[in-house]
Amino acid sequence: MTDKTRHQGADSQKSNLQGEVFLRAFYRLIQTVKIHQDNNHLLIECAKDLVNRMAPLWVDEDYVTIKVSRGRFLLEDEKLLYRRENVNLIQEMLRYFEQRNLQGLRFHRPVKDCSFEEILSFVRILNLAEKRSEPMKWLDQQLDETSFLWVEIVQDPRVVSEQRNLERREMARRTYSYALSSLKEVSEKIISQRRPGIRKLKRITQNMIDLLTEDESVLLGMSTIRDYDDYTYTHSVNVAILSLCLGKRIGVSRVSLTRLGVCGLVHDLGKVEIPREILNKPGKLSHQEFQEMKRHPIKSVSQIIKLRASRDLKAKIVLPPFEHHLKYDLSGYPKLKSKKSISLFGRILTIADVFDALTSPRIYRSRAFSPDHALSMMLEGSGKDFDPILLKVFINILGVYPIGTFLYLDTGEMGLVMDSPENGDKARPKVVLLKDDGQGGFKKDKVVNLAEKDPRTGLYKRNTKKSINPSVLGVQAAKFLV
Amino acid sequence: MRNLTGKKDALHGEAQAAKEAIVSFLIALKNYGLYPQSHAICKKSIAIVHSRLQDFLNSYHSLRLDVEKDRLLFKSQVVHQDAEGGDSLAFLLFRDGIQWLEFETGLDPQEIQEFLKIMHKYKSSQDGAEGDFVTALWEAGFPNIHYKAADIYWDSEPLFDLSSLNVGKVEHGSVDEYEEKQENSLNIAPENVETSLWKLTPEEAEKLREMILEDERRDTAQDLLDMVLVLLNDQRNEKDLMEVLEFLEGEFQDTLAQGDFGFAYKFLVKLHRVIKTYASQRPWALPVLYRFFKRISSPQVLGALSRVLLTLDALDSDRISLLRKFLVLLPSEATLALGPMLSQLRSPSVQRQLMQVIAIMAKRDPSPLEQLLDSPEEFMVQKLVRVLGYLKDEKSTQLLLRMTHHSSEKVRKQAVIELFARGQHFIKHLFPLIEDPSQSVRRLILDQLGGEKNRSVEALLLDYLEQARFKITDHQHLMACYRALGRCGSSDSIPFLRSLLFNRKWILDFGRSVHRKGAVVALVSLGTEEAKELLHKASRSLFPSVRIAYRKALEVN
Repeated sequence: MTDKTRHQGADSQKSNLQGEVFLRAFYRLIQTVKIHQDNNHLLIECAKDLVNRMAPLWVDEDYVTIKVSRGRFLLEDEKLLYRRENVNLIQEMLRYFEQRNLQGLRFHRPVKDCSFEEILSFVRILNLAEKRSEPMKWLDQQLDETSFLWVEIVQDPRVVSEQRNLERREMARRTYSYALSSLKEVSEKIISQRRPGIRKLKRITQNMIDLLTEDESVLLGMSTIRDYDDYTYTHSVNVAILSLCLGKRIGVSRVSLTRLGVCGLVHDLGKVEIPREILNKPGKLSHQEFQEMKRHPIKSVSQIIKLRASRDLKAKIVLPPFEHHLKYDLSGYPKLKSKKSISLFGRILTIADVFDALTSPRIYRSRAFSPDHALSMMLEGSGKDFDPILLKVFINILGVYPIGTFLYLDTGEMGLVMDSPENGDKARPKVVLLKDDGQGGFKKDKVVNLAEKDPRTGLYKRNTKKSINPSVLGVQAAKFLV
Repeated sequence: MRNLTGKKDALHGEAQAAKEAIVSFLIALKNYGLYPQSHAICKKSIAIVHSRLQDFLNSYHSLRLDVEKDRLLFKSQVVHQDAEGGDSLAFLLFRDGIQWLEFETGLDPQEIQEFLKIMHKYKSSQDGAEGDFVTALWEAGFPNIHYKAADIYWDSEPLFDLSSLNVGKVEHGSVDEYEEKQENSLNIAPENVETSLWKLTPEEAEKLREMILEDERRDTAQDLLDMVLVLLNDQRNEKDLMEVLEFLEGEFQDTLAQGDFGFAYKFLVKLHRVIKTYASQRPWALPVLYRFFKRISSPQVLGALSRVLLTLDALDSDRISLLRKFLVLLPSEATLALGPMLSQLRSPSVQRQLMQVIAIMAKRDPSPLEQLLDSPEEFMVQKLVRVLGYLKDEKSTQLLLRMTHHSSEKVRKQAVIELFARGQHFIKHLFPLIEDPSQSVRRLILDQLGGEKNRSVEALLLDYLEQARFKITDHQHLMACYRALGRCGSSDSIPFLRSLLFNRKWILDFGRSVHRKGAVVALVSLGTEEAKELLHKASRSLFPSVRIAYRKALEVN
């Protein structure tokens, strides 16, 4: 052992001891605060002691971090050594952190200037967190409210990301649910001859855009929701989501995106006027029935015009729903004498509308197409039914196997596409594997990346054998995706 | 560690500063309700809010306010309480679901102004059918004002249950059959899938960019009107038709404001066709459609044209021609909107076209024009009298004759011009204007009377001069009357003129010289041999007064 290493070892030992002293002071305070009032002399001394014990640890940085990793305490990323004298203390503190899902705490130097009431208040909050169902979330909220600038919770970035992910999924579920209920409310008001406003639809669209900005795949996952019995509502929300994704990708401003989203939500509003016998007729519609069905874009316009909103706003959202069956080459319906091209939002809605319709089980068609087949079919209509450039962008967003596609793999496994690769091979997405749950359904297994190769052979570990629409198997894809 | 008092003092200071910022904010909000936003008081209020917030943010970096039903809290301290029956700042935020609001360093006056605008808008808006404070904040996207909002509208709603939705499991046929069917169709995902399916080429990327720009610039008014025409054919009841027409009215107005007369013309042509269809298939709709036509011809809607018409000049002949084509498709009620525009127009050619349009409308129904003739707007009425001149019917003549009694000299004069333009048929009606208070009207009348030889006019003038000569004190007018008599007269006037010139009985009459002079003027204008003889005789008269009259009259003539 050289002098240098010996010296380093001594330093390390010293800081380890200082860390232990600090941890002990912290433990004492945690315990004492449970017994005494804030004005208790002993308690005040404990608080002062904790701050004093931190002082030697502020040599290199303006803060000191204590965190738990794999059952050990780390003080500034240095393991706190177990000694016979400190085993109980460390174990008690580990349990304390564990009960609160607490990964670490960071004390900043300004702690020496704060009042001891603040320190005591912080420790009391820490103690209370144990009783909460989500202690970390609660703690975070509490500290956020108190605005203590000298302390922060340290979290593993992976955990933070997972937590945020969960929150986003929760928000996506809520947003979808609220969008559905708001849309139903609008329809019900129309049916009962009342004039609905669009405030809720606007607000929900803004929430969708916020979600989309953070994580496109969560929202796309929600767009796989299918409801055979009440198709129009889920279809309208899905069209809104898909349109927003396309609009966002091509650079439509956020304010205009709101308009696009609302257009998606209300584009089929006119169907409230189509007789249910026609809407729910199994098999092919008669000529007359089809003619009636073809009136729904016009009826949607009539309903939008009746909404309780300024004419200016209505003028901004009425055209794309009118155009959504016109087709890119204007060969669709309603028939127009004008030869002007349809609006950008009209072209976006057309793509989103057809994709969702093809991939949804419908009463007149025994099966829904798998998303990749739907895209293939749409490609056949590129330049005729659909704007070719927008369709390309749409495929770019969804990938060759869009989110929610059920894949049979050559390994004998089955999976649901959960994310489209931003770059790289669009035909090799990430999938969540599904296993038989023993009750005729499926349960979630691990997530795998189809682009993953076997390092020994250089071959892909898994290949797609065939795709299918999950509804064919009675699977609600969104259940496994969000 | 600082002591408790120090800490409390600091917190108190912070809260106090927060309160001051809020107070300034409240004052500014109040001023927004009292004055226009461009008013100096509003501007000053914003400057004060900015300064207060700036002071706060310089010291404490951010101001985060927690929102409760009727109060705002800063670090758990109440810094604002809504007054009962007074301001309701906290409630407004709370009502729309704001949980907290945070102002950060970097805030500029523009942001504050916009924020206040939004607050003011939603403070007074009770309806909120198309948005609320939260949606407006979201749209504004302030860089230094942050907030968190709760989903208040759905608070009491249970979340939907995914498992309750029916995904439409296989009922008809087997999965295998389905797969077979699907496999027979194309698939986007063969083994070596082409990246060109989803990757844009640089040209396509450029085209996409242009497409977005083009769409942003696109005037959707035409698209909307085309759409509404389709929509109109689909209406089955009066109420729905009225809704569509109400929407249409606004869109039509926008088209006018953009000056697209060509489209407005095409649109009206199509609308007339729609009316024809309705007439045969849905006659119940006709009164509604006619009412609509009247509405789009009203000053409220056609008023949108005023600004556009000001920008037109003779060089825009194509557009002017389209304007005319479009306007004549409107009902005559449009006159009430177009008439007042006449006085604002700068371009004579646009003015002329508009007057011709009004004339065409008046031929269909003169009552709106008649209504406008009663207006006190002298310039407009004068132009409308010219319009009457374009019309050659009995009604217009009656109106012109009525206008010869108008209080405005210009209007009377114009009416006389227009009536004389129709020939001498109205001479008896117009003759009384020989005594019009306006010199220019009198002159015009006399010029017209003396325009050609006319026994009727001569008789009128002779009668007038015989009867009224002693009453006329305006010598100039008198001379003009004699000159007119000479111009329109004949040998019938000679006895009267001779008598004026030579009759000795009048010798002591005051003002006789002026009549002698008038007689000379008339004889000169008459120019017959008989008249010349009399003039010769006058020039050699033994009576100096006759000679003087002769000489002076010639000087004047």
